Amino acid sequence: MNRLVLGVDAGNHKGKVVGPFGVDSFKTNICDWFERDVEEKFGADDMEFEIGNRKGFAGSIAEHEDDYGNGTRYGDSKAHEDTKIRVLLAINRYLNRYCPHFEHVSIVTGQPIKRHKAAEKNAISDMLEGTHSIKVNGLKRTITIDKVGVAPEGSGAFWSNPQMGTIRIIDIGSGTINAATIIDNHHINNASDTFNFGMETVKNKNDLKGIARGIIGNTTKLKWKKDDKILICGGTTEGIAPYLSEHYHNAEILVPSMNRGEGVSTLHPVYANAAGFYVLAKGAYG
Amino acid sequence: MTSNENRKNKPVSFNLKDELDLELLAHAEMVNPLTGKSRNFSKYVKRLIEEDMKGGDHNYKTEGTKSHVSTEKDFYTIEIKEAQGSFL
Repeated sequence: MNRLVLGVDAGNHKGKVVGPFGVDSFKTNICDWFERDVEEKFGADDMEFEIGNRKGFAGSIAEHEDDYGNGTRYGDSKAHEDTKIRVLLAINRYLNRYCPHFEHVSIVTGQPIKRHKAAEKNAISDMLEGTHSIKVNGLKRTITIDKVGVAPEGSGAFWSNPQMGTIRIIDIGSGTINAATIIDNHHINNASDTFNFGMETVKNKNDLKGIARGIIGNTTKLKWKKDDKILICGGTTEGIAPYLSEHYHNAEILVPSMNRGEGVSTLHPVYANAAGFYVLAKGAYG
Repeated sequence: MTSNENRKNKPVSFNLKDELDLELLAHAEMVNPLTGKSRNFSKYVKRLIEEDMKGGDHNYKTEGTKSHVSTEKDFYTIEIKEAQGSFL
């Protein structure tokens, strides 16, 4: 029996997966199934899925529906079920891409710091653990998820490049921003929080200076100091880092660093959470 | 003037309406923050081919230096596992 260990960051905008064979990312938009115009073409990342009693599309086609569709996309009330679909699609993509013969998987996935509580973590584990029969783009597959760990987003990214001392992490996501404090490898909850804005929810996502100002204001309330060691990760890290550095003089980009064979490999900071989750998963289930 | 007589050029086409192609192109043309110049595309492609010949993984940039973690076995000490447990 082959068992795979993965870190899965199932974001609202993109899903990121890090595992022993490499990484994968894909658009996580989901919409209800609808009759397609025969003239339409599937994009490279489009997925037509049947998972449990849900049938729909994921990828670019669902993104298009989000922007121009008739409102069939799923709302907040199904947030948990959407997470299940995203995680299963993420695992399915990884298996197809790197190791189709695996059936058993153990993962660590994430939850915003603010919602990283026992009841919510258990709900996610209960939903994901077990055997799932799925159908994606006409192909059936059975995936058994043996173990699920749920780590705080942003904080979990620490393990993609751990270092001693007091470390602050700013994790810029599409819907939320996580601000984490880690002291000597331990997560410090009362100096960490999730802010309810992200790159896809602000009025003007090109106003990086304004977004940086919002982050600085909120982290100052957590008593973060100007000369603290700050690590920045997420999809827009490079763009926003200079603005955050104007206030936080010791801010750096968090570059995930992984052992690969005889050397060290680095990944884009967008993979920081998934890479950190993978390191946690290997420690817990590897 | 340099001659192209002894060179063979193989153009790579990117579909500017395809999201994945655009992402690949942006990555290939990424500006090096140290030099302010974008990547040398020819060199980059040749390095990828070389890595492929060696059986490398293109998703990772291998730097060939020792990490903060010398080996996985050394890394996952009892203290680290205990610290990691507090994250889950």
